[in-house]
Amino acid sequence: MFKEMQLVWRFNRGHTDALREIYELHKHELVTLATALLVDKFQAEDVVHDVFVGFIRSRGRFRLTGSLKGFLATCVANRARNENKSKRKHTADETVTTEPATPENQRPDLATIFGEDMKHVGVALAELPCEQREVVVLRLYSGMRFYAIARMQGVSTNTVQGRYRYGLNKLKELLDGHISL
Amino acid sequence: MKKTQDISQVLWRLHVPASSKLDERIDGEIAKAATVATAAPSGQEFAFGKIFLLFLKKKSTRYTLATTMGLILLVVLVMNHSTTSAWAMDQAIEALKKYRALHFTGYYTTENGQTKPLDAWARSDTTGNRVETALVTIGHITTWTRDNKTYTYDRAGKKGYVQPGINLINSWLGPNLLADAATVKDYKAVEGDDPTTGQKRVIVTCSLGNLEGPQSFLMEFDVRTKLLVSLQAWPNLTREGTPRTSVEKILYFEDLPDSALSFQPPADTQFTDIPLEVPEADISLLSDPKCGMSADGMTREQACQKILKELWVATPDRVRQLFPVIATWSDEMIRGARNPNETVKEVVKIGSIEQTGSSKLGPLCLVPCRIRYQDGSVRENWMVVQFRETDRGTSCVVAAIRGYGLNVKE
Repeated sequence: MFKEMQLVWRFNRGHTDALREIYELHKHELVTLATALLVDKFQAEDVVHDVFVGFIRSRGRFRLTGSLKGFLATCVANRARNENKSKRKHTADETVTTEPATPENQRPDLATIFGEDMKHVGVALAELPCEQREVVVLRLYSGMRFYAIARMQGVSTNTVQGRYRYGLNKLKELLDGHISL
Repeated sequence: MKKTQDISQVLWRLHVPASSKLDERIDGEIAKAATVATAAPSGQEFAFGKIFLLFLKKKSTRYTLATTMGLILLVVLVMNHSTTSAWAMDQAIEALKKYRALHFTGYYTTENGQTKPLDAWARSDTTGNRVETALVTIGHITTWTRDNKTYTYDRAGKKGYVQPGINLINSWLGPNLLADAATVKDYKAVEGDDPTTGQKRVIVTCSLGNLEGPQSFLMEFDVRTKLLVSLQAWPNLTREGTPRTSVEKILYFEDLPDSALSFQPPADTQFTDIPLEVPEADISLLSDPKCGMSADGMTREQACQKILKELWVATPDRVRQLFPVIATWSDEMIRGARNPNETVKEVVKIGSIEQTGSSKLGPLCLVPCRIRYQDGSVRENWMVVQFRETDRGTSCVVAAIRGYGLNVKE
């Protein structure tokens, strides 16, 4: 935590090495989070890129109130949600006439993204509705609290907990027999 | 069906590394950011010299000279006596004025020869007179200040300690202290080139005795910036053996946020009082029967009140007698004569004994003294009184200053 504070302080003072260090510290985790939320690595990297661009722009006035990792994860989750929304809108606009989308369990890129042994996780995540996926990933992967996720999604904590339950149950079913621990 | 914990573990195993393409894109953004970076002082410009300037900015503290002060004194000497104009003190003081905080790193060698990394942050108060907040880590021991108290956390022993007052880096150097210190003459300064940096350096050696006992120093100054760039300090007058403190890098900051100076020990840490002790090196001075005052027929409380009331308004000679550890100080240093922030106007209150301890000589008492200074400020100073039991009866001397409190409300 203290190291983060120092980094942020240096970042605000214009030290680009601090910015680079922040990126190096969190890049893999943020890309993983974004990929889990979007189930698309290219989009995920775009999101992480945009988050960092926004972060860079806040230099000199950025105030750290919690953990930097949590802040960046929240930014990634917000942007990923926007991406998911626009993706759904785009899909809805193009309905009817277009070819049916590739079923998630037949997406060969998931093995490339998540690795052969974890591709079923990618498939299962892709099968979840976006809101449920977001809650499950933010809760279990990022360790975010329900009330924080609720605030982010603009819904009540009860709703978030409901999404978590449904999402988790579905994930369990989908992964059953595919993943060994 | 898998348990929630299992699903959680599965998700934790997810790892999607950032691609080199993303790295390149971010590098590009960082490079762009660098080109429009504000001209915030950084890097070399910040280096060592400016840290010392911070000290220079501070005013002297009556009676309160600790290790740092010793270092500062040395700097002052150099500035006053060097033949090169590079050491013009006015310029150094002026340069220091814009820095309120510093960070330094190096090593500290304990009495049993163990060398531990040293990392310290400090910030002065708004007047630039004193250390307001500091955070120092030596090995597994971290010490920090908060609300006019000094806390210590021992990570190895998982123990917390607390003591009243700010008691980390005692003095922030100011013009008056520089002038006072100029009266000390034990120093040598040699100028040379540093082939590594291509810069001219001045190496200074000197020694002095202060509240921390005898100390000697080797300091390296940058001639161009007039700033200290490294420092070594020994716990003897002759620089023998391994340096006790070795500061390798100092950075100066215009300010630091509270967050940079805060430390959070584990939530369940219990804090106990730091034992009251005096440095072993001071024992012989404190045992001098010619020093101090008789405490016969008085309770310890009464004796503390009497000696401390007298101390703050005594003549320099009497101060040396009551407080023998500062016997080598000049009259002006004792009076704080040039500095209204250090010159005592009146004793507002001598408090009750807050803590007791013992040394080889006898009982020790910690007593707060609330003092009003000529500039109108009021500060609390925690004083240690040493009682001595001899065949000639009971007597006491003032043994040390142990911290001060800022912004005291009357």
